[in-house]
Amino acid sequence: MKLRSFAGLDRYQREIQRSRPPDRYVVAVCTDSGCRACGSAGVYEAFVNELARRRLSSSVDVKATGCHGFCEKGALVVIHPPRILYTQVKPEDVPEIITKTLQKGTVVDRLLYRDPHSGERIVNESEVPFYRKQRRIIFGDNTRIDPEDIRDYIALDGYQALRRALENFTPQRVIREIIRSGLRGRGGGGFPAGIKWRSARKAKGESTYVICNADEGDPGAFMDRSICEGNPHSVLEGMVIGAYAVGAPKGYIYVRDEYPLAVEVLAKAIDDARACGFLGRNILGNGFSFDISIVRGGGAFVCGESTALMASLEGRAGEPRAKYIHTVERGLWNQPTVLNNVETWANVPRIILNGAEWFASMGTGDVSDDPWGGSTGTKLFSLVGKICNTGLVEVPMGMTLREIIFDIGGGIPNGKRFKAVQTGGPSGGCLPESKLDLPVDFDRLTAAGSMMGSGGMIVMDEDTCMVDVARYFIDFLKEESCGKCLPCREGLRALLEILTRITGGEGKMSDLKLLEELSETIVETSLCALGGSAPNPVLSTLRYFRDEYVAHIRDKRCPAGVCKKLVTYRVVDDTCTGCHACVPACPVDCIGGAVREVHVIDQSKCVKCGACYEACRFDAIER
Amino acid sequence: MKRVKRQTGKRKRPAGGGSGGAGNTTGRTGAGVLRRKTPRTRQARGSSIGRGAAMQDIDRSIRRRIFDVYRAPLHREAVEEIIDRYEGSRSRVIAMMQDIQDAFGYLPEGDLRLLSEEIGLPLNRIYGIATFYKAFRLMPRGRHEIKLCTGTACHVRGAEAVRDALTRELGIGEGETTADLRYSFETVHCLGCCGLAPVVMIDDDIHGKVGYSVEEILEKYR
Repeated sequence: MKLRSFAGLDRYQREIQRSRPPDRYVVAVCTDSGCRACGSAGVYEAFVNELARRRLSSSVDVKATGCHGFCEKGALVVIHPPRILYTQVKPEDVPEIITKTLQKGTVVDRLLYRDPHSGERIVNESEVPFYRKQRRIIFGDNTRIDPEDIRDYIALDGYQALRRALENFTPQRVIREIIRSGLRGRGGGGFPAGIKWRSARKAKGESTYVICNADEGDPGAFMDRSICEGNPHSVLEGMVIGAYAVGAPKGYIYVRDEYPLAVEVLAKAIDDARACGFLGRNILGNGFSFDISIVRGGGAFVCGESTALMASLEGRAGEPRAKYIHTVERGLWNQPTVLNNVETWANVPRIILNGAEWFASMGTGDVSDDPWGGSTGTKLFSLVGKICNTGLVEVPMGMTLREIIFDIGGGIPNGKRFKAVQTGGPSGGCLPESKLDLPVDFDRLTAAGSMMGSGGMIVMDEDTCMVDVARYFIDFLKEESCGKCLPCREGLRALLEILTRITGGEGKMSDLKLLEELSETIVETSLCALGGSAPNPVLSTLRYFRDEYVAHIRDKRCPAGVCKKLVTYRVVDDTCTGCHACVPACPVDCIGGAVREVHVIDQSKCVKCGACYEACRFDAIER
Repeated sequence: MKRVKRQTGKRKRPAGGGSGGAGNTTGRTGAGVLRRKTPRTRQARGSSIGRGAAMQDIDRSIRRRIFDVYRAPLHREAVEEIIDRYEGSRSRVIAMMQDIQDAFGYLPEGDLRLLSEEIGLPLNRIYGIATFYKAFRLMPRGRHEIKLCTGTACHVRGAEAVRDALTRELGIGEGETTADLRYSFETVHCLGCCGLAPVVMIDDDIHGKVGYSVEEILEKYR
C-alpha cells in the first residue's frame, strides 16, 4: 500500500494497531543463525502446524523474529503479552507450551530460565539477569518484529521519525539534532555522526551519497548482522533521514559476503519500504526522493575501511587510499559521501523521535557543546568467549566491564578465573582484571590501550594464552592486509614471525623490545586504520601480560598450556584411577593402559589436543 | 582424479602466465581442472571437442583447440544474462562475478574472458578482483563445503583442535578438496554465531559446539 501523505502513514499505523488487540498472544520464535543452529526453525514450524491443527491460528500470532540476544540459551521463545521467556525450546516442547500457556494461561516450569545462583525460575524476560541491566533501545524491538513484515515495524512507531523529520525539521535542524545528541560512529572510529553529515552537506559536488557499512568483519562480533536480520527497517529509516539531512538522492548498503540472510532480509525490507512510499520518488508526498541499493562484499576485512569500501563499491579491489581529502568531500565516485555503520544508522530514528536530550541523557560526559565531549546513548556488544551467557547485550555507555561481564554475562564458566577481555575486534586490545572497573566508553577504552571498535567483547579465562591471542590477531590481520602499503604488509609479517618464534619456545628477550619498536613504526607509518591499529593486540598484551611473554621466552613454558610446542601431557601416576575415561576421548588412540591401571600417553603419537585433559575427572593428567 | 588445490595468496602472479607455447603442456585430464598455462596464440573459439578426452595421443593442433575450450565461455547464455542483469555496468563487476560463482560454484576462466570482453574491463583487472576478494575461487569445489570458523570466540574455545580433527579426518589441508570431490575444506573468520563456538558450517548448516569427533557430522554429508 503506497502512502502518499503524513496523514496516510498515521491512518495506516492505526489500522494495523486496531487489527492487533493488545491482549492477543504473540509467540516470538528467534530464528536468527545462532538459534537456528539450535533447531529454532523446527520450533517455529511446530508452532505453526500445531496451532493450525488445534484451529488456534486465528487467535495466536507466531512470528519468526531476529536475534533476541541471549544466544547461549537458544532456541528462544518469547510469548507476549506477559513476555514469558522460554529457553532451549525443542520442537517436541511446543504442544505443551500451547496447552499450558496459550490455552490455560500457566507456564511450563522446566523451560523457564533458571538463575544459576539462586536456582529460582524466572518467568518474565525482563527479569532475567541477562536482560535486567540492559537498556535495549535498538535491540529491544527484535522480539516484537518479524523482519519480513513492515507492518510490525510501523505498528511500533516505525517511520514516525522519518515523518517527523520531513514534516517538522529542516535538513539543518536534523543535523543539529544529531550533533546535540552526541551520537558517535559505532563502527570503530567514534567520529561524531552529525559533524560528518554537516561537512558532507557543505561539500561541493554533483551528487551526494549515503552508505551503510554492514561489512562487519571483526571476528567475534555479530551485532550489525543481528540488526540487519532482526530489524532492517530501523536501518533504512535512519538512512532516509540521513539522506534527507545531507541531500543525497542515492544510498548503498554494503553487506558482508558471509551474511546471505542479511542480504535477503534487507532486500525484502527495501522492496516493502519502496512499496509503502518510504523510499523512491516523492517520499510520503513530501517531494524528497531517495533510493537504496544493496551491494554484497567480496569477503575482504579491509573493505570495512571507508575508502576501501568505496573502492569496492566502484567495482575495484578494495584498497584504501590516503585520506588527506576526507570521504565526506570526495568519497564514492569522488562525490561527497556519508558513511556510517549499521548501528549508527539504527540510532538515528530513535534520536529524531525521542529528542537529542533523551539520547544524551544516557552515557558519559557532556556533549551539549561538543560531541567529542563524551559518549552518549547505548552500545551493543557481542559478549562471547569464555563467558556463561554468550549473546548480544545493549547497555548504556559508561557501564563498567565488571557489570557487563559478571552481572549480565554471568561470569566465567566452570569455576575458572577471569584473565582478560578483548574489546574492539582484531585491532583492539586485551584488558586485564585490574581494568574491570573501567567504564566502557570511546575515550576511556582508547586511553587504556584498547578501543571500542565495533563492539566485540571476547572474554578470556586462565586457560587462554595471551601470547597466542596476540599471535592469532596478527595472523588474522596479516592475512587481511591488502598489501598496498609496506609497513602493514611487511611489518605484520615480521611481527607474526617473532610471535610464532616466541610461542614455539625459541624467543629471545630482545624480541620484546623489537616487538615494541616494530609496532610503533607500523602504527605511525601505515596508510589506513587497519595498519594503524593492527599492533594494538601486541602492545596491549605486552603492557598488561608481559610476564607471560617472559615465561615463554625464559622458562620455555606456556602458563595457560595452549602453545603446543611448549606443552606435554602426562599422566600423574598417583591420581590416575585407571577409569579409562581418557582413552576413548583421545582422537589418535595414543593412551594405553588397562582398566584400573595407571594409563600412559605415547608422546610420539600425541597431537596435544587436550581432549584427555578435559575428559579426566580426577585431575590425573597434567600439562 | 587429482587433488584440486585452491590458488591462494593475494598477490601471486598467475602461474607461468604467458611463458610457454602449446608445446610444453602436459596431458592432464579431468573435467573442470583449470589451466592457467594457456598458449598465447589463439584459434577459433568454440571448439566442439568435449572436455575430459584423453590427451596423450592427440596431436598438437587438437590439443591447442582443447585449451580453447577452457578459454571459451562455458556458460555463454547464463553469463550474458548475468551481465544484462546489471546492465553491463563496469562498477557492478563484483556482483556479476558473485552471480557467476553462485551459479557454477567457481569462476571458470572462459566465463571471465567473456565477461571481460562484454563489459570492456581488462582481464587482468578481473583476475585482480578474483584474487583480492576471499569469496572468489578459480577452481571447482567439492560437493560439500566445510567452513571452519576461526574467529576469536571460536579460537579461544578450541577451533584449533577442530581444525586438527578435520584435517585428520578428511586427509586434506585448508583450501583443498578431497580426491572424490566430496568435501572442500576452508577456514573463515567468524560466521557470526559466536555463542555456539566452536562452529563449523557445512553447506548452509551451522554446527555449534563442535568437539574433537567430527566423523558423525561429516557422515551426514554424502
